[in-house]
Amino acid sequence: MESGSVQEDEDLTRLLPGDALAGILRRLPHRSLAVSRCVCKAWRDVTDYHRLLLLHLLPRSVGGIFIRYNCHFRWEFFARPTTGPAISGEVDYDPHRSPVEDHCNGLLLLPDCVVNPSTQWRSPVPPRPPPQMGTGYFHNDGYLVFDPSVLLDYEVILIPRISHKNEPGHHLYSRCWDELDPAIEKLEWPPSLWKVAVFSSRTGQWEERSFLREGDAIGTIADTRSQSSLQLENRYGVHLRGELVVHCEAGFVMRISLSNNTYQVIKPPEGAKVSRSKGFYLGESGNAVCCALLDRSRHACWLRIWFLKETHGRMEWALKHQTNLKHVLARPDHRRSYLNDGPWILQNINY
Amino acid sequence: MASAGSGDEKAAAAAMITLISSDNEKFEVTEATATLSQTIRHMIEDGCTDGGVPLPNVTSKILARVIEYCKKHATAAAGEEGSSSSFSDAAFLEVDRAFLEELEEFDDAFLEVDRATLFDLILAANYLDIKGLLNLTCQKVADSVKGKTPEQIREMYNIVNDLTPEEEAEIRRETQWAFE
Repeated sequence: MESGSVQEDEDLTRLLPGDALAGILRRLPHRSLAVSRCVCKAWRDVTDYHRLLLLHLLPRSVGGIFIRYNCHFRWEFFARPTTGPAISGEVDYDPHRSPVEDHCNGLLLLPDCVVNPSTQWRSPVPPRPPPQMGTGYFHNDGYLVFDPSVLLDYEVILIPRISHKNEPGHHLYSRCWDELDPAIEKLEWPPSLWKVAVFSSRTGQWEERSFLREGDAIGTIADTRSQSSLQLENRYGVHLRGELVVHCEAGFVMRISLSNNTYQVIKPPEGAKVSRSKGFYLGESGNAVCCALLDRSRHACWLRIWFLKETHGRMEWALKHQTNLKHVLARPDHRRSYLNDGPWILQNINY
Repeated sequence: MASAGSGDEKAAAAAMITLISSDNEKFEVTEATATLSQTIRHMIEDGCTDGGVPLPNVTSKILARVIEYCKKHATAAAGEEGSSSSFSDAAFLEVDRAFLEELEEFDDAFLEVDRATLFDLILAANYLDIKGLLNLTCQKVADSVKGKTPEQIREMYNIVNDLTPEEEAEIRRETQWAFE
């Protein structure tokens, strides 16, 4: 289109190439940008193609951090209310006030719904299907996959777990519930073809998806049982670039590729003594998956952080940081942090 | 000194570029002015500016405005470079601030155009790849859209809503927070 030929009464925006229209729209504050997406097809398509709105949806500043303690039913919320809109860790807009199960890019997964704590938006998830391999012996842990820089839809993935069984002689032992089945105990874990239930917000339905294992399993179900405490409550998940990395039994993690339906099992970091009852923390930092382990003894409190790296096609943990937190934890102001007099406050949710 | 001075003049004379608008009007500009456009900079680097640079997408009316912008900003850039070596820090800051204020005033006045010209300037800045001019003009349009409803935006720019009611409902559902 030759410039200088436009008329005041025609749609001038139609003359702009996509890049130039995107150049205008990306200068809008996110609310105006979201409204502009509703103007016409061209504006919507340019916004979506250049992922303009999606970038805005990702919070750049941290409104708070959910902290999950093993002994507490609900996650505690460590908030810095001065830095943004007030977000409550107490999901009191959920009528059941259910505990948070997982989170991903600002959305929280509750047992029967997905919520956005910054807008108090809530969307129900239909009842979950039972574990594929049988209830009683197995149960599912839900993980949320949401990457607004790719897609506004989210998925809930149910990862099968081996259920805890009390040993004979334990005061809670019940033959009916806790007796082991030798045929199941010698099965490989995780299975080479892993059937997993996935809910998509796009279809609004649960469906079954199969993932093919690449590489070795942890061992048999009996091996896995002997190496870990299956009562472990906190198994973290990280979603990064189309992959879901979840903590599984015995300090192993599972790297699930959602695009080509495969998964691999990754050994715990070399030399790390992963406590059977506490496990480690799995997280994301600088676009990489990392795990943190706190090793406490009477004389030291070692914090070690490993990053997941691919070397020669194999996934391995590389030690990145190692520091003794003893002096930090011994400082008197550490104990004072429970008092809500600083910029960060700990919301009292459990008590 | 004298011979060095005449050498500089020769170099400056050699560094003139001829730009030719779509309606065949010729504009003589210095290389410093012309190279604010990345598109022209690449042409100069490739040695294909002999006999003038034809710009079939830009009319003489718009090209004259674009050159006015580039001249001002090229002068400002050269002034900043020169001043950094010959002034003390405080004096430099003072000069710097004066330059910026003057440039801002220039930019504000430059944008006092009708809407058709503004869109022509965006098209020209986009085609010639002049970052500063593109920023300036796009920001002006963005400012006019900010805070408006979809209906107001359509009315302002004569945009026909070609979204189906279902598509529009879907968009409003996806970003409900923006419409509350």
